Amino acid sequence: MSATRWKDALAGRIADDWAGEIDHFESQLELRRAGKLDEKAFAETRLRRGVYGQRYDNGRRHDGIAVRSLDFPERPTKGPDTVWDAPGMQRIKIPFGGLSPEQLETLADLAEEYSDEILHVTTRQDFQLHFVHIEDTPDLMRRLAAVGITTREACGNSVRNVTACPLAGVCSSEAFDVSPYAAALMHFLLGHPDVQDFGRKFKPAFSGCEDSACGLVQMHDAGFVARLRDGERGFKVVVGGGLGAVPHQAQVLSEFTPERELLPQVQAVARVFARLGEKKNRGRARIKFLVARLGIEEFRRLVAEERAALPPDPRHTAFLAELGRTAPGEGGADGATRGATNGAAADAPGFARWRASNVTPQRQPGRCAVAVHLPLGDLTAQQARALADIARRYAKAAPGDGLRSSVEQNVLLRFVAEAELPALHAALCAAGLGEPGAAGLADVTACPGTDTCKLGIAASRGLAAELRGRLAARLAQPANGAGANGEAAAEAERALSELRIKISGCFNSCGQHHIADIGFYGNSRKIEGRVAPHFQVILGGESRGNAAAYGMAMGSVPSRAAPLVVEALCNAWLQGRAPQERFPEWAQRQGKRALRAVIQPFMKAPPYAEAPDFYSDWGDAREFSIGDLGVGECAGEVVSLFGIEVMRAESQAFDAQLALDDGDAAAAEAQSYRAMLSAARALVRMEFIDIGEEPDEIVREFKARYFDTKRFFDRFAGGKFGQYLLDLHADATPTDDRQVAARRIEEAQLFIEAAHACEARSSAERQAQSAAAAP
Amino acid sequence: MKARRLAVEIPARPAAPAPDLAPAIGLFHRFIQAGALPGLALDVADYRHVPGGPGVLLIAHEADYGVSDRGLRVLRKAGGEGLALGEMLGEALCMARAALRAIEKDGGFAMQFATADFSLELLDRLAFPNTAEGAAAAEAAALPALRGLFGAACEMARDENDPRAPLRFRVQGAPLEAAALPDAPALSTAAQAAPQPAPAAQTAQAQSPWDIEVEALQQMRAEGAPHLVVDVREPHEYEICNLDGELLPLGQLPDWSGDLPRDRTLVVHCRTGGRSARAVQALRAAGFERAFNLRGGILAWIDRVDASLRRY
Repeated sequence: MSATRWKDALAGRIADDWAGEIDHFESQLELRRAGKLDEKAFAETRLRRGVYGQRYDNGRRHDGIAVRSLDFPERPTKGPDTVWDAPGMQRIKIPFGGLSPEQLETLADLAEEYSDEILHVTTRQDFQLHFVHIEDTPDLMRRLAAVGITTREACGNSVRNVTACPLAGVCSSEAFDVSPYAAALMHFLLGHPDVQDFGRKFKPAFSGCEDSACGLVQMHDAGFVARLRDGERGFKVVVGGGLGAVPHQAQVLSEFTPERELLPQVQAVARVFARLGEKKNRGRARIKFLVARLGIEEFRRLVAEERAALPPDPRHTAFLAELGRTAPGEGGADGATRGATNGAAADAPGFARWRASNVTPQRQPGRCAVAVHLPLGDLTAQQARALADIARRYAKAAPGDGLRSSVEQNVLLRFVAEAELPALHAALCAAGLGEPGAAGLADVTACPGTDTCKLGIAASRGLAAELRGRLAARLAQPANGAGANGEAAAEAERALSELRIKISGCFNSCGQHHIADIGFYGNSRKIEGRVAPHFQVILGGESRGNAAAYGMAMGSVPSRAAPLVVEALCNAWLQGRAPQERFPEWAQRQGKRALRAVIQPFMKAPPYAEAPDFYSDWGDAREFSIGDLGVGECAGEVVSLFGIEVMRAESQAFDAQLALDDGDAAAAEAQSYRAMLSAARALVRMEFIDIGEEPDEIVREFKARYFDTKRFFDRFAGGKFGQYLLDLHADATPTDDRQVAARRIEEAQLFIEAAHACEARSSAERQAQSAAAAP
Repeated sequence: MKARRLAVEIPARPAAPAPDLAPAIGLFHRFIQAGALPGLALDVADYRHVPGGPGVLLIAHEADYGVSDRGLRVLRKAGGEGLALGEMLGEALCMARAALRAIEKDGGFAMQFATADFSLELLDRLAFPNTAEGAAAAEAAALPALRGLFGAACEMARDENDPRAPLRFRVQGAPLEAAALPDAPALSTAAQAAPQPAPAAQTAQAQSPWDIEVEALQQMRAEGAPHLVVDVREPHEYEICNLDGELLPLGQLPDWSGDLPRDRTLVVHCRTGGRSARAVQALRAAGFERAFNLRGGILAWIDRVDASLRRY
């Protein structure tokens, strides 16, 4: 008789400590279901195992007519305001994106049996399954553990997935393969006592070289760039980077940390962060705030001090003994000389274009890395099995070396013999995975947004799908004309195909909009009393050089106009660019004023009567609404007054960007401060029409009316945005530092967003009161 | 034998070109608004960008309803733990038939289905692995149930699919419309046809399948959600107190309903909800898919929202 529980069926195939952890989680789950464990304690436990909430898990949903309560069966909650039976998301962390075919097959099984048949690759090389029931999670974890995957510390205030350049080990510009170091760091830190007491999450990343984009170390809490010094391996270590609402560039902790010092140094960083990092205020708890507060010199001193005090630990260097000094997959190459198989030929339709955009030659002669383009990071269980077969057949290498998930939400096949590319392409096409354009224009990156995320404001995936469709169609058109003209057109199309678009559903940057050529994040604007989904346009980001520059907000456009904005920007660039000029370089040369002029015609949404579709989001038939409170109709004079005042704040925030462009950081800081004051004044004026222009008075009134009363507070971010103004007002002296100025501009932008949201909530409340009081 | 999950797929009638799935998004949102399908409907997931993928899904607590190029797929999931495989299959078929009827009634989604046979997938590799033994166990559990529904001519044949894929059968001789099935399965959560208020305020009795609570109307007003209040009382009642609605006494409704907007939410009320329930019934029958009855009428509004109005 076969086993009736996965626990028994997999006995002996799961490492003891992992099995014990999952059993413990299951008993916690049972205790909570029986009401014998505190909901907050259980929420923390499940988050640490990657079991996340999803949109509408508070049991309420706006169905386009009204907010409805979802009458799930009566059960205890699984966290504050989180209904037990509401579907959730399971995050599965894949260190440095390294997967074996067997692991991929298990993910496929789980997607079918516990989710909706879809495997989703995230921007941090994780996999996610959506619409998962909480009671299925222990078995789901067991089945993963049986193939060597743990979900431990995939969420929560812990060390998240250790990411790395997906080309690590095969890239021709890397110093050496960082994958084994990423693996070692992940195993060392997993469950380590020194990383259990963080105030917030901690994201590490590895890169094999300084210049390429793949590692994105500059935007991580801790980043490690491979370096060789006199033949010795080591890392440049940076700390305190991060996107989030206000992006920070990481700062250099050490120019060269020898490989044997890598783990102890990270442990020392963890101890400093755990000891001194902010714990209460989530909005200020990432390590970037600690580094900014202490200054990098002091932070470095503390880390060195902590390092010196660390007790010796053999695990610090044990992994080095196991490191092979020849890269895996080298030697034993037999496919390089083998001819094309399956009758697939190099002149098959679409092959040349696919090869040009998706194939990268490896350092190993005759071998290639092949990007498999996954639309919006999604693939079906059936495609995953096909991909596992393809990896076994064409990407033969040591386990974890043949397949990698990437931050572009694609999967990479490595160690493919060049001669087998046509056959591989044919096999991918048969599985519906042979599309060209990986990491190019049509490969739009997006976070889940309003589809499943609780924080989402606008439909990032809906917009991404719309853009993909339009851009793929545009790229598929053959370059028209002939001769010199035809060549120019072909070159334009090639340039276009390299453009990157990234979209987030809200100001948190899971879609990494700051480092795109064209980035978007979701927000909302009210037009004549009705809310319409919008996207803030972000330009000037740079993903090269490990995310060397962050883009800036250029203005908010209605969601429905976003594809037109992309088209207008592309056309302006293609017409105005110097030969070979890349988009970020062109954007830089244009300056903000000229870029804004391109966007300007699209910024205003037509009234509802003329274009009702502007008031619903992409891929969503419902009329747009922002959450449970929703947004009220125009309450007459008072609201339009707010509209006028807040416009002033928006133009000041834009002037701040212009000042920064002109190299005047001090002026940019001053304008940002003024923008926040104007937005605060706009709110105060709704209640106190005679408020003056004095900063002290504005801040005092704002604080008393909106901050201390928590009316300005965001449901998720709390008082974070209001604090920006209070902190700055306490000392508004400009520092004249570019980095600080860039941050102030972001803060001003977010403060203005928060003012919009606050006004919307207030007017909804006023409406409700007046409706109730109506005779 | 029990399965944790199973899916039935009703194939699309072969048609060239493949139907556009975009209208299914609106269709599913309408289904959620109207509580048109069995189960607690939660949300719509759009996977049209995935080649060969699940298409557009309506995610409910007990089942996922999906339409793709292949057809309609109903995946029976939560709340079926106590059921034998045959019972669970019956529920899934019941849900599939309800979905087919609702799609046809809506008329906004053009896909046609071939309902003489369907495929059955067992999404539980522990109980029903894709092996000869698993197939034998599944057949032993499912076939008697299928024959009970469709008669002795019904057959099931195992698909020769990838052994790593779920165990799958082709079920033939199973015309869905003729099946001996109830209209809807008996689920612990019910389809909800209307916004639900806070429990404390809930009126005990449903007056129509399309009730909304006074708090929901209050919220729609507060949010500026587009809607029209229709008052089906008599003019002298309107003079005593009113919600500023369109006055359309019940007796005159058949004459005037043609003037009401079909694309807007109609909130119909009377004094206590009786007359308006009948009015909504008639409006729905005439194709007003967004007509709702204000449960408890204007008296409930006075009691729970605005005491300043005059009771009578």
